[in-house]
Amino acid sequence: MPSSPQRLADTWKEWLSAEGGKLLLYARSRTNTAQDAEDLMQEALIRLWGYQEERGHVPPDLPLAYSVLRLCGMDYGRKQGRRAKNQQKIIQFHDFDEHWLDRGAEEDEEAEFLRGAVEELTDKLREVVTMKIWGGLTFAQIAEVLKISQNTAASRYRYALEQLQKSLGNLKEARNG
Amino acid sequence: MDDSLKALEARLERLVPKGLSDLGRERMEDRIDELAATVESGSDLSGWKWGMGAAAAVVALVAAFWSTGREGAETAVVEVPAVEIAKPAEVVAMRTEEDLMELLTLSLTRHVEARTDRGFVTAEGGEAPHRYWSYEVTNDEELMDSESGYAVRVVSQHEEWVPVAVTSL
Repeated sequence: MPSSPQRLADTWKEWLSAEGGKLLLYARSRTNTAQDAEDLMQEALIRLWGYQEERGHVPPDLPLAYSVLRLCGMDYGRKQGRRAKNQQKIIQFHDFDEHWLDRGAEEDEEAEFLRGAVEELTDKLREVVTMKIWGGLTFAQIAEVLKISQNTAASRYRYALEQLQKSLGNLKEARNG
Repeated sequence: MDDSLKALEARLERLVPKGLSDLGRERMEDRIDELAATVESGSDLSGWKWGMGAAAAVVALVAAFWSTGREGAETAVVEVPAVEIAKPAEVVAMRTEEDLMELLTLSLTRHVEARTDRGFVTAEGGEAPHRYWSYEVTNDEELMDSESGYAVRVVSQHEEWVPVAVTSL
């Protein structure tokens, strides 16, 4: 357990370095801009710090971090207003410079298409995929974060994969003529 | 899960999430330094634990107050976390009814526990007669305080009378 303020800060920075990308990805899917996503992360960090005080300020586990981030995202959504959010999202989907997945990792056409397809999933499906694939959470943990049953979490995940597979299949068909 | 979905899963795993921007990381690390600076080495945690208990009690109590104040709610059973409540009266005074609007409803389920036939009622003015049924309804709500992150479950029961038009006797 960290004891000195400096050691504590270092521990949290290590945690941020390890988990920040996963959490940012989720934050990005709940906000309109990359800047808003980082602001959301900042807000979640402060809340998490408070929650972890009784545990000696050790960095939180990932499910708790997702839960808090989700709460912050819900507050953000309320502030923005549903209509404004939808308008912004239309822009987001077509704004590739602000893509929330690293384009450098895979440059082939299918990977690029897949990233777009993930973004176009509904919020409910995308958040399950985000937590499972990039967060590494189990269905039990996802269910706890989203306050749904494990079966629902697993069903949403499977349905999301089927949708992505269908989109990918359509792309291949179009490519082959 | 079939092989094609597993292959797709593996493909998705290879897509790497974009990390924080340099500026974003810098801002968060500065914030971590600020937060860490407020922590004393080996500080006594008993005060915090009391605060956590009190906060949980606040959320539970205000949720109960909110539930019983609604139209139709006759009884409310609140599952209060097992915490020591040292000064509940003072704590409750910190919250107003407006604050209750900040509670997020995580889930709401309605269960019909029983149905009772209340008989026929002949309407005045030539309208069709109705048969009344009364339902014992249990609402089971899960509410969360967005600031503290505490969740409480509020169970309330009430009776609903439903008239059903009788077209032929």
